[in-house]
Amino acid sequence: MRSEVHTGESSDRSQRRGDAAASQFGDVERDERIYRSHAPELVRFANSLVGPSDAQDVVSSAVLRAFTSKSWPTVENPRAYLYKAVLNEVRSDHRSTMRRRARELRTPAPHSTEMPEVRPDVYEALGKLSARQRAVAFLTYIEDLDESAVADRLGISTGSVRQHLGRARAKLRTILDE
Amino acid sequence: MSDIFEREIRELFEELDRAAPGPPPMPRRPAPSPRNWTRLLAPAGAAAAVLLVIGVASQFLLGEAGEADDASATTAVAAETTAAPAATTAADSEALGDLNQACSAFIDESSQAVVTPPTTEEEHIAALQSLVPVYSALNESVDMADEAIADPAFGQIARDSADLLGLVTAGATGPLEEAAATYQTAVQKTAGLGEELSTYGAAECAGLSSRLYP
Repeated sequence: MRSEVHTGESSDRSQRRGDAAASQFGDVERDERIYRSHAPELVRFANSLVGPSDAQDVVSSAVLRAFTSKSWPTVENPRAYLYKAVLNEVRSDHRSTMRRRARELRTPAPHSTEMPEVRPDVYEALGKLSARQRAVAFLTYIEDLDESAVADRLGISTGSVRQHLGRARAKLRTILDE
Repeated sequence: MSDIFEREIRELFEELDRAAPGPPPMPRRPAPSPRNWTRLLAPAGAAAAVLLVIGVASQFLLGEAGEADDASATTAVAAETTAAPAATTAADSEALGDLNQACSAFIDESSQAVVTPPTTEEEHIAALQSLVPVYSALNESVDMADEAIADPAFGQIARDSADLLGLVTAGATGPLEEAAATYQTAVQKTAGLGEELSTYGAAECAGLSSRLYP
């Protein structure tokens, strides 16, 4: 029940067809490759911003937004683009996230037995930081990136990195000293 | 900054990091509904009809049926039945599993395929290229259903489905100047196939229903 496939067209024609198809339908294989490479680290990053309850949802929304963006096919550094997408997703959803976080702090959600529990004071301390301060601190302390690498990953200047990290440290110092 | 303070901050983030869940499945681009290939190519609702027939085939395999005259219920059987009842044989279970797998692949492919109305030769070729996996998955589903149903009337539908796949595949790799004509032929044949499937599915469902609920 299968028909033979015609062959023998010129490479130029193939190229034109390939370009037309790629521009119209996107490169799903490329997307899958990128997603497989970066999804675990993106979830960890999102987890540092919104906690385990919403990390997967944030990554799904951010990745889908990136993949359907008109600029996505021409992005040169997909990893940095996706980190920024995750951070933007969190920031755009900031108010509802803050409301949910406040609810979680009042009534800590039961965690899966496969996941280590997080002490409420950790949420409370890190909840004092803005999304960008958390992002910079996470990349600095957990990913061990220097200022320049953090700036590249988040698409901000090294001056902003210093500023956000300084403020994050100051807030955490106050909390930890209490 | 003291080292102790730096370590405390690191420990806060490390504790949160240990609770990070695994990555979710990759999100898929939604197919914009007005451009969905089934709406563009199959006004008769080929996809729904295929699912209907596959649902009927599932019930032949299972040897029992629920509300067989209900298209949505039948579709649900096709899309969701993954484990056959204990009364079915191992061979039936395997065949049903294959059928459901083929059906899922067809649903996946058709939901991902996006065809904007083509105008240029290149766009017609691109549209045909994007439809090859859809028709391939559709044909796979129809083949499976054909094996399960083993009815000469459905055999003709299976042959038409295979011809359609051949047409689209040849068009996707054929001369640029023939792409538009091939595409239009595919549109007409798909509509015809959709009608055949609808008719067959409706008749079989009605037959099942009358046997089950006389």
